[in-house]
Amino acid sequence: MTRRHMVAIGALAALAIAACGSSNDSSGSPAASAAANGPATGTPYQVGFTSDLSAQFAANGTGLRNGFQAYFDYLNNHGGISNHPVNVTVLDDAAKTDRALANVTQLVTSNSVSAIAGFLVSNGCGAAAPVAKTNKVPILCNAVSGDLLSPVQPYVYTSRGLQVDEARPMLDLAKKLVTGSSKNMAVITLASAASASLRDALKAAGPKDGWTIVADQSVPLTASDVSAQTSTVLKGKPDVVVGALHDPLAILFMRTLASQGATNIPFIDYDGATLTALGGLKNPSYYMASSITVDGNGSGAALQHYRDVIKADSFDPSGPFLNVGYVQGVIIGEALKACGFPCSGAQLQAKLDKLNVDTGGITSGPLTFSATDHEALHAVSFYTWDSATNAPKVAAANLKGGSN
Amino acid sequence: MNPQIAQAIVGTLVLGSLYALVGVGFVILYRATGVINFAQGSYMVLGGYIFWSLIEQHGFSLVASLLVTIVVLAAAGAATYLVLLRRMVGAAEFVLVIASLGLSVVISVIVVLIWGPNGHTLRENIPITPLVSLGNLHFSGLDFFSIGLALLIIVVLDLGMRYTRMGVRMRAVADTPLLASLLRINIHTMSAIAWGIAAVCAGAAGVLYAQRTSLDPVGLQALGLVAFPAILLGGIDSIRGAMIGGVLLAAVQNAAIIVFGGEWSDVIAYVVLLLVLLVRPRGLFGSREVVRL
Repeated sequence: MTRRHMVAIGALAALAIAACGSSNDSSGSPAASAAANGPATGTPYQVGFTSDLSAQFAANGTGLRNGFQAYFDYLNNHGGISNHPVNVTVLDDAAKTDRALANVTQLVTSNSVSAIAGFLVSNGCGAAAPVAKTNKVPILCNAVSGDLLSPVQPYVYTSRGLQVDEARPMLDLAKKLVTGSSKNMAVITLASAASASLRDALKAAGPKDGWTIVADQSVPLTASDVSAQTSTVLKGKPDVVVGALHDPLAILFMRTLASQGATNIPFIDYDGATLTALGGLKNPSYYMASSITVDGNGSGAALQHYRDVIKADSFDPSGPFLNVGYVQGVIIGEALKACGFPCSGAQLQAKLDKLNVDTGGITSGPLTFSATDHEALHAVSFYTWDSATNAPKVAAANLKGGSN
Repeated sequence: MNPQIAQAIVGTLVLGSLYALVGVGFVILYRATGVINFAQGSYMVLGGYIFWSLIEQHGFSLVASLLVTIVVLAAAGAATYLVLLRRMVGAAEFVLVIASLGLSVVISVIVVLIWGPNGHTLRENIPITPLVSLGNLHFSGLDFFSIGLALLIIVVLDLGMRYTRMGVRMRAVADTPLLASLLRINIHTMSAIAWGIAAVCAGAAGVLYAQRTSLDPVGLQALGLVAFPAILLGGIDSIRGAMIGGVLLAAVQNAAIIVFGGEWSDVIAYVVLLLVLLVRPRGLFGSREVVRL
């Protein structure tokens, strides 16, 4: 074997290892803290969870798991559901389709779960959908491709709205932010299927609102430089930039904008960036969509409860994706309460289709499902950085979702 | 000059500098020890996190954080060799490549265990607004710092490898370890120094990159891997080649983005890698003896 061969093999092996991530499976366990109502002692419900806990999106996947686990730890320590605890089995899918499929099969066949949550990225949700349907076990996904929700697949749900439905509220916020006669809009999105749908919706609906789309840029998930995209965006002299860039790319884009002298152009980002970007940038020109509270701050019993639950497991309420994990816990927990004990997957599915939970400000509007609509949330709020208080603030609350 | 092209040039110089810095680490290690080190990306991550920890958590100044990071990375690189790879001297290259892949995973896990999986963002320690404008070319303080630090490290290393006794000894060890040892050159010392230098290069690149975006244990490694096509383009045993290869690769990527769209930037990098392997395996400036058919 020549050195050239070795170099090539080494390069391929490096890529394979980088893509694979590492295994980090674990199982949930009830928290040890004492509870006001006492820990639940009855026969447990079984619930599964699968997400990326070790690969490219591990930071967000871990937050998702922690929020979900914290919800049920707190519930179990406070009497459970009519004294039945909820046992959560957590598996790592490393954002890989085959791992997600194997996890779901294991959870359904070996753990006899009533529902499976998590699914940080949409590929896992798509892979699990046929297994969920065959075994009549509902899956609750963070990210899901639109074709699984329209028409509705009976066992596939999402704990938030579709990314494409953020187009309307983004345009509504843009209208609020840009009051002059110039209506130039640039679009910059990740090169993913979901973000491409959002981009298409923005490009279709924007002109109807009077916007001229002056730039349309795409960024690979693994991009390490966006200077070319940024210069193309600036070439169009936009009054506002809308799009979908996750935390590292959002920061890179905003800082590249600044390095090219554009410090005041508003950038409206999707509900996929987190407080990591918002708090890292501390830039009042950066707006981030979120259908769930980003930090848990605010008055009201529900928000206080959220903070208590997350802190009870020693997590930070403002951590990335803990809020989404918590909301997934609320959805499964409330459906199990309505279902009673025991509760099969099919029985739980029937209850999920009638879910209507007022979260008291934790989410932008209530969590609702119906037989024809499996998106839990239908509105988003936008956050920006308040320089005066050095903290996030709501720039626009509860804007109705939609793609037109 | 067209503003779009002008800013792409600035981006090319900055990204090319980072590629070059990581690439020079590859080259130094390869020239001194014959190891193609795929753990460079992990040292980037380690450098970024150490720097973040010092400046954000412990209140160190920018300069102090950078210096301490460099010292720690140098020690970590040298220790890696002395503890783990010393016993592999003379092993087949393929074995060493696999060992470096394993090392990459180990370092990544250590970073996650120490700092957790969450991303972190460095505050703007160096101004990111335009500092100098040459027509439509706008350079921020961070751009200058990135390009300048990369150039400084690369030039010092290039001169050091060419004209200092230590550089000559390193090259002797890489060429024929047995003969070098007969000449009373301490192979292990030279190799440990090379590992330390490689880790410093990667760590410095990690710091500079983290200053532009955010830190996360997995994402930062991608830059380390994309630097590999850059050194193949320049020549795997040429420091100057790594520098020019880095800038050329960044230029090709940015041109592809402007012409074809953003989706093409990473694809183009690996297309370049394949083309170089097919057409000119020794790269633009690599030594002819690197290829042994």
